[in-house]
Amino acid sequence: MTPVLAALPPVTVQHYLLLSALLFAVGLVGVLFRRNILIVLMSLELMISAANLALVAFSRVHGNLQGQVMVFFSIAVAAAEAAVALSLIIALFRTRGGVSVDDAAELKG
Amino acid sequence: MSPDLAPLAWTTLFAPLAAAALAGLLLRRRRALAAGVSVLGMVVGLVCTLFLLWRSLTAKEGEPTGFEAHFTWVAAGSFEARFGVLVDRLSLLMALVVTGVGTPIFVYSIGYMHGDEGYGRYFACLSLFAFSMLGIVFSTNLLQTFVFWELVGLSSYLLIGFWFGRDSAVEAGKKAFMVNRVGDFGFLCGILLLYYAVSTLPGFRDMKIPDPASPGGLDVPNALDFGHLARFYRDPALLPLLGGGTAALAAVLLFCGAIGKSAQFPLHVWLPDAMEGPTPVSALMHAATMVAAGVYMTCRVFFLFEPFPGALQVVAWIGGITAFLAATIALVQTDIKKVLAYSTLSQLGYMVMAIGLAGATAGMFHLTTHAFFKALLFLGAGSVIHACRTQEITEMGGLRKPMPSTFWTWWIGTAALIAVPGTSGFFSKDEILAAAADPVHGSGPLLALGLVTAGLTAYYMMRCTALTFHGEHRGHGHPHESPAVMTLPLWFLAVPALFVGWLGFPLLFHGHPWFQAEFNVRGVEAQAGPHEFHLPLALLGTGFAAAGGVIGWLAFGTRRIDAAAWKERLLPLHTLLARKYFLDEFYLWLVRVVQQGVAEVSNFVEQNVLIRGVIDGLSALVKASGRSLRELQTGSIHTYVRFALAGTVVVLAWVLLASARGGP
Amino acid sequence: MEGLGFYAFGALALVGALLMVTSRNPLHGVLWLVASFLGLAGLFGGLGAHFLAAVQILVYAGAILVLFLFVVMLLNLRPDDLTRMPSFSVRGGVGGLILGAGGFAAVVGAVVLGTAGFDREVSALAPLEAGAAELAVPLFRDALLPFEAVSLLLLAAIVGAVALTKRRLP
Repeated sequence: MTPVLAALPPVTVQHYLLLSALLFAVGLVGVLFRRNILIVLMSLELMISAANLALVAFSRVHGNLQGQVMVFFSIAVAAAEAAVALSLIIALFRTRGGVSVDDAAELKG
Repeated sequence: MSPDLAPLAWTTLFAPLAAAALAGLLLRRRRALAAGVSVLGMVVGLVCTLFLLWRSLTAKEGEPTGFEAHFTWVAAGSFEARFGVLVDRLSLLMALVVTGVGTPIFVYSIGYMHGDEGYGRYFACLSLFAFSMLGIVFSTNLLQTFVFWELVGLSSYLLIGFWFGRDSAVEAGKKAFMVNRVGDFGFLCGILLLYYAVSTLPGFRDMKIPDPASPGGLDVPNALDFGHLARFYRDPALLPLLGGGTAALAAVLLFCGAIGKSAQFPLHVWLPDAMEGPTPVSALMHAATMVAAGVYMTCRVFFLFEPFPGALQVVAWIGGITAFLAATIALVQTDIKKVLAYSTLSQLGYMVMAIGLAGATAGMFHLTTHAFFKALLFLGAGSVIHACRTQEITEMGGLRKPMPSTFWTWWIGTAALIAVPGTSGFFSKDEILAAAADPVHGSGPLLALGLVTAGLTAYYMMRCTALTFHGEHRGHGHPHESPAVMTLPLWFLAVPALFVGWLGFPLLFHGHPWFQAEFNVRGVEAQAGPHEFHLPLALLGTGFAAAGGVIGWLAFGTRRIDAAAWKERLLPLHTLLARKYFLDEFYLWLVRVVQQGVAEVSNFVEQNVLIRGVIDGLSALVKASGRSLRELQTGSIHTYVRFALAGTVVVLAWVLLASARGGP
Repeated sequence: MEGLGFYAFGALALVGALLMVTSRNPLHGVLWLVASFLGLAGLFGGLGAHFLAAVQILVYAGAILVLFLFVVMLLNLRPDDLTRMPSFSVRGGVGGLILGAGGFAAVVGAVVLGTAGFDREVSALAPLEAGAAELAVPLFRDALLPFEAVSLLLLAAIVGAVALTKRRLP
C-alpha cells in the first residue's frame, strides 16, 4: 500500500476544491437533466454540500472559523428548504398524480 | 380716387353673393322674388362700378386712378394670405363687362327660364357665379384669384348640368370641371413655384413698399400680391436675381390656368359641350365673362411674361392655333349654339394671341367688345331656339318677318363679329392684327393665321345667319317674336356692340390713357405712345373678311354656289372638321388606356408591394417573433434552469474577463 | 495518512453522487446520497472540522435525507410508474447536452484556474481544531442575530410544510 501512497501526489487545498467542483458539477447535471422531481431536489442538495466542502477548506486555509459558521447556517437553511420543497411535492403528487417535472409544466393552476 | 371708396367695391362684390344666398335658401318657392333679388344684386354692382369708373377717369393729374384695400385672411409665421379688392382701371373695365353684360342677361333669363322647374335654383347659381367672377376681377393676389377661379368652375359645373335629368348635360358638366382641373393644376403649380422662388430671395424681402392702409408706413412684401410682384419684376436690379428658367416656367404654368379656363387648345374641348346649359348661361359664362377670366388674369400678371420672349411665344402660338382651329370646326356645325361656341373659342384665341404678341391692351379691348356682341348673339340664338323649339339651323329659316327684333340685333352682332368697318369688333380685331404686324414683337405666320381666320369667321357667320333667318321656314311650327323681357336686353346690348369700339378709336390717336400705367401692363413700347391707325392693315383685314363673307352668302344665302356638292367633294375634310379633329376620341383614349393603365399598375404595386409585402410582412414578422418568444414560457423547470445557468455563465465570463483585463 | 483519508472519502463522495444522479429509482437515489454525505463527513473531519462532520451526519444525512426517504415511501411509486416514463429529459436535444457539458467544464475550469494559488499542502497548514467549544464562540457571539433568525426561518418552514400538506377533513 505504501508504494501506492507514495506514488500519489501530496494532497493540497486545490484537491479539495477540485473535488468540490466535481461534486457541484454532478449535481448541476442532475438538476438540468433529470425528470423526477425528487432526484432534482437531491441534486440540488448535493450542490449545496459541495459548496459547503469548499467553505470548510477555505476556513482551514485562512485559519479562522468564519467558513464553518457559514456552513452551519447553510445546513440549517437547507433543512428548511428541503421541508418546504418536499411538502410542495406531496401537494403536487396529490393533484397531478405524478412526480415528473413535466406534470408541473403547465403554467395554469 | 381713394380707399374711402372701398365699400363700393366690396358692395359690388358681395351684393351678388347676398342675392345668391337669399335666392338659394329662402326664395326657391317665391320665384319672382328670387329673380328680382338676383337682378337687383347685379344692378347694384353695375351702379357702383360705373361710379368708381367715373371717379377713376376724372382723377386729376397726379392723383391715383385706383386703390387697394385688403385684410389678412390667414397669417401663419412668415406666410400671409390676404383677401381684398384691387380697384384700378383694368379691374373696373372688367367689372363693367361683367355687370354690364350680366344685368341684361339676368333680365333676359326671367323670360327665357319662365316655367322651368329650377327657376329659383337657376338664379341662385347665376348670382353665385357673378360673385365668383367679380372675386377674380377684384382679386389682389394670386391665392385669392385661385380660390375664386375654383368657385367659378363650380358655378359653371352647376349651371352646365342645370337640367340634371339630361345625361348629356351631366356629362358636359363633369367634362368641363375635369378639363378645367387639368388647367387649374398647372395654375396651382405656377403659383407655388413663383411663391417659393420669389419669397426666398432676400432682394424681395428687403423691398420697401408703402402700406396702402397707413400712409407713411411700410408693408410686408408678399410674394402672392400682384402689386408687390409687379414692383419686383419692374425693378431692373432685382429681377435678374430670379432664375430666368424658373420665372419663365412659372409664367407658363400660370398660363395653364388660362388655357383651361379660357378654353385654349388643347383644353378647349369642354366649351362646345358646355352648350348643354341654358342659353343665357352660355351667353354670360361661356362667351362674355368666365372664359374671359383667363385672358384677364394673364393681363393682370403680364409683367411676369414681359421679360421672357419664350413664354410670350408660347402664349401667342397657343392663341393663334386655337383661333384658327376653332374657326375651321365652326364651318361645319349645324347646331346654332355650337357655331357660336366655336366662334367664341376662336375669338378667345385672338385675345390670347394678342397678349402673346405683347399687345395686352389689344387683348383686353377685344375682350370687351367681344363680350357685348357675343352675348348679344347668344341671347339672339336663345330667342330663336325659344321660337323654333330646336337648335338645328337646318330646321330654321324665314325668321326675318316673324322676329324682327331678334333679326336686326342678330345682324348687328354678326357685323361686329365679322369686323365690319365701324363696328366695335372692327376696331378691336384691327388692334390685334396690328400687334401681329408689329415689326418688333409681331409674327408673320400669326398675322397670316389671323387674317385667314377672319375670313373663315365671316364665312361661317354668313352661313349660319342665312340658314337661320333667311329663306323659307323649314320647321313645323309658327315661330313668333319673343316677349319684351327678352328682346329689350337684345337692344340694350346692341348699342355697345356697335359703339364700344369708338371708345378705343380716339385712343388710337391719344395713346391709350385708359389703359396705361394702372394696368400694370406696360404693353409694347410702340403702344405706349400715340398709335397710328394702320389703314393698309385695316383694309387687308376687311378684305379677307369680305371674301369669306361673300363666299358664305353665295353658298347659303343665294344658293349660287352648291354647298352640298362641295361637301361631297371635300368629304374627308368635312368629316375631320365635323368630328372636331377627333380630339375628343383622343382624350377618351388617353383616359381609358393611359390613365387607367397607370392606375392599374399603381394598384398592383400597392396591393402586392405595400399591402402584401410591407404590411402583411410586418404582421407576419410580429407573429413569428411572438411564436418563438413564447417558447420561453414553457412551464418546464428544466428550461428555466438552463436559461438561468446560461445567464450565470455569461455573467461569470464577463466578470472573469474584466478582471483579467483590468486586473492586477 | 492524510492523503489516504482524502482519496478514500473523496471517492466515496464522488461515486455516491454519480450513482445518485443516474439512479432510476428515487429510493436508490436517496441511499446513494446518504453514502455520498458520509464520505463528505469524512472529508470534513480530515480538514479538522469535527463538529461539522458530526452535524453533517446528524442533520444532513440523518434528518434531511431521512425526510426524503419518508416522502419517497409516502408517494409509493409503483415500479411501472418508474419504467413508464423516461427519466432523463434532454429538452432541446443536442443543445441541452452541450449546455450541460459546457456548464460542467466551466465550473471545473473556473475552479482550476481560480485556485492556482492554493497549492499548499494541507498537512503543511496550521492545525485548526474546530470542535463544539471552538465553534460556539463565533456562532453565539459574532453571528448571534443570524442564529436567531435561522430559528425563525425554521419555524416558518414548519408552518409552511404543515399548511401545504394539510388535508381538509370531510
